[in-house]
Amino acid sequence: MDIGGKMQLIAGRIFGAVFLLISFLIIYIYMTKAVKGSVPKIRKMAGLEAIPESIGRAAETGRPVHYTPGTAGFSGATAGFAAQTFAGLSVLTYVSRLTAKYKVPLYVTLAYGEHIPLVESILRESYTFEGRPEAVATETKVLYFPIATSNAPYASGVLGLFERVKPASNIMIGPFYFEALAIAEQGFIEGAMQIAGTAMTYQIPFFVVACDYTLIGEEIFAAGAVVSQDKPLLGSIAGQDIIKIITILMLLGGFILQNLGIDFLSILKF
Amino acid sequence: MSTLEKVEKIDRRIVYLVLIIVVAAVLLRPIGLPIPISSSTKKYYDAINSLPPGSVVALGVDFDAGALPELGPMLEATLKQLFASDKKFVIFSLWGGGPAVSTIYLNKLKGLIESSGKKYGEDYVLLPYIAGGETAAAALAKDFKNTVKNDYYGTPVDQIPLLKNLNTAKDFALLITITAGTPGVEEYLRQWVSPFGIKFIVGALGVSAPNYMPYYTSGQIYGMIQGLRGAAEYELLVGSPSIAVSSMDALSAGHIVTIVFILLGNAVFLLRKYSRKEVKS
Amino acid sequence: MSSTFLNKELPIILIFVTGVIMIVSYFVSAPEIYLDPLAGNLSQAASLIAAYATILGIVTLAIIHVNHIIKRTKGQWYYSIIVLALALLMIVVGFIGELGTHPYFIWLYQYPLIALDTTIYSLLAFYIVSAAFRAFKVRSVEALILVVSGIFVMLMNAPVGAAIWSGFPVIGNWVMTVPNTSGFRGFIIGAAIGAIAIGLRVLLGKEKGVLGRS
Repeated sequence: MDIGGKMQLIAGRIFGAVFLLISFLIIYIYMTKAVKGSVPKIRKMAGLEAIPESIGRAAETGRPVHYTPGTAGFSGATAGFAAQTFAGLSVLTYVSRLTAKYKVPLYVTLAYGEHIPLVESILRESYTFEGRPEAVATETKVLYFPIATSNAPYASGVLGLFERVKPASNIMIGPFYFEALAIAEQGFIEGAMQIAGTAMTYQIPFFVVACDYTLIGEEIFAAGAVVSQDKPLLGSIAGQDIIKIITILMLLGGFILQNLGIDFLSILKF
Repeated sequence: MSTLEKVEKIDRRIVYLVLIIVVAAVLLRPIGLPIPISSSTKKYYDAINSLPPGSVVALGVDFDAGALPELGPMLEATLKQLFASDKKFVIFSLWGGGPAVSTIYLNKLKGLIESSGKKYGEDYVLLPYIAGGETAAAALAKDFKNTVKNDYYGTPVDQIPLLKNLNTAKDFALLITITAGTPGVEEYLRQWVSPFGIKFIVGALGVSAPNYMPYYTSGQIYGMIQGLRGAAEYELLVGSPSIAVSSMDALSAGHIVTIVFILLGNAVFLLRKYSRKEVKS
Repeated sequence: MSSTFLNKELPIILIFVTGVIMIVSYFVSAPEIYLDPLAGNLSQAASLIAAYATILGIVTLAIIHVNHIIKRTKGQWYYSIIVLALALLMIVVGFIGELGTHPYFIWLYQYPLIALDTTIYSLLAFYIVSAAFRAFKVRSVEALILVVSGIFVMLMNAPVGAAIWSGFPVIGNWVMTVPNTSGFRGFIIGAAIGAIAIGLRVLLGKEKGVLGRS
């Protein structure tokens, strides 16, 4: 489809372009509303509510907390999961403030070296916020188990760590691969209270089975937004919900129209 | 502790020991259960067979060492089918270990390659790892030849006859990916299948296959090998039963052990629940 | 140029311009005004940058382990020597001949590396059985549906299922293609919408993690 001059809209992608523009507009409107003060309310999430309880348990038993923001990097093949890692890092801010407050040792395990400066900065900020900057060196440990040809080095590093330190609380928020079940099951064996969250669809069932609380899919982004009180992020979550409603209406409408003999699919393929 | 309580809280090492014993026993004394062929595996096989002679196939080897036991047999059988056919193919990888894995299987099939008469550079090519995940997949789809400068062995691409006329994804008749995750199916769907309409077949891990069912049922994925079971079916179709077929009895044994423990766990749970109710009343 | 411009405004401008070019090039064809070749070149540039990012991982690894060796970290420093020695061995052998093609490199990959990787991966089989025994308890109607459908799918997957009863693969296949597919479709749509939102936030510079947390 010629749109003037030397440009042509590619056939079969026009509906997609229109839908994308409408989605951008809706999300932008809700982000702007949130920044101006109309912040949407996010429902309670059991996993997020359970974090203080699990850290309190660690304080009572004198055992440490283990945290991991997932096993995906910011660049290369896993860059698409960076948003999940950022959600994990937002929740780490919340967790580290609690461990600073309750004086509980915190182990943060990482699979990518590029996360180290970010995590160290988060820990410094959190402990300074709680008035205990000197405790970062004595009560926290950032461990790097690099990913090689697979996530096996990271998995074996964390399994060994669990055997040695026996954490009372294991919090895993971010993107995970096959190591999810291994770490969660080892955490259960060590008697840890486990809270996990991921948007990696084929790891969610493993977390649901092995952990006490699970944040499923987009709940991790909502959790990251709630703990960080990031207004554009909170606003965009509301915008996403509106787009989901539109999508559901399209699905229902399409189903009805197709059954009435109207070729709705041809509109989508326009 | 009552007997029921002891069973419910059984040491997990006993569970592991039972699994090891049962699986090892079946590996040492195979039963030889029949393996019905599923329609998704048949479609994978037919997709390659139905191509016109001389068609060029894009084969993405998108997995590393960890997934080798499950995806290696799929790759081996795919290579056997391609070498025995009149199609040409280009092997590339969005995963770092992909070229090494491909080399292992190409070395393994040396005898077959020689007897097939296929010549490297004219009938098949191995490209190096292309970093970038989805951007790499997009770059390959838009400008295949210029995304890589050399093949895996260092030969410049303009000196390789097979790559001469391969400019975009449209120049391939079929895209195959044997993938352990990301980058993989979704990236190819977005960058190769949707924009260029290329036929797409997938070899996937058993744990990932449910994830890809929406794409298979909608037709975006034409055929799919699902896990080690699918690999065994495919080996039978190709006429070369190998490690996947020989693992099937062990797979069955492992599944039966898991189901028995689930049922045992539930039986004990329900018996304890009802015996507690009786005591209360 | 001020440091704020270099650290904040310039990256946002670069992200916005390249992002818009890539999005527009997906929907609009304009070879005469260089849009299509530009998008292709940007894709290739991104692949190159990702390749260089791999080097960052190796450098970080080396720094951390060299620090452990220098400080003689208790319980760690000798393992650090092993890590660095083996990493160096793979790098050196990989550079013999054409990159990563030498038989010694393939041998090192095929025998020790694959064996170690698959050993860790195979632990999952044991963990799945113990997790299933512990967690698949029929505490509710939903749990009952989960357990029953799980058993049918397992028996569909294993040849023994068809040998016991021909109905197992049929029902298992229905579970995979109807309820499972419906559930995953919902996830995929939600994830896609989430990706649109993330994309917009990154384009507008509203995604905190992209530019650092300050």
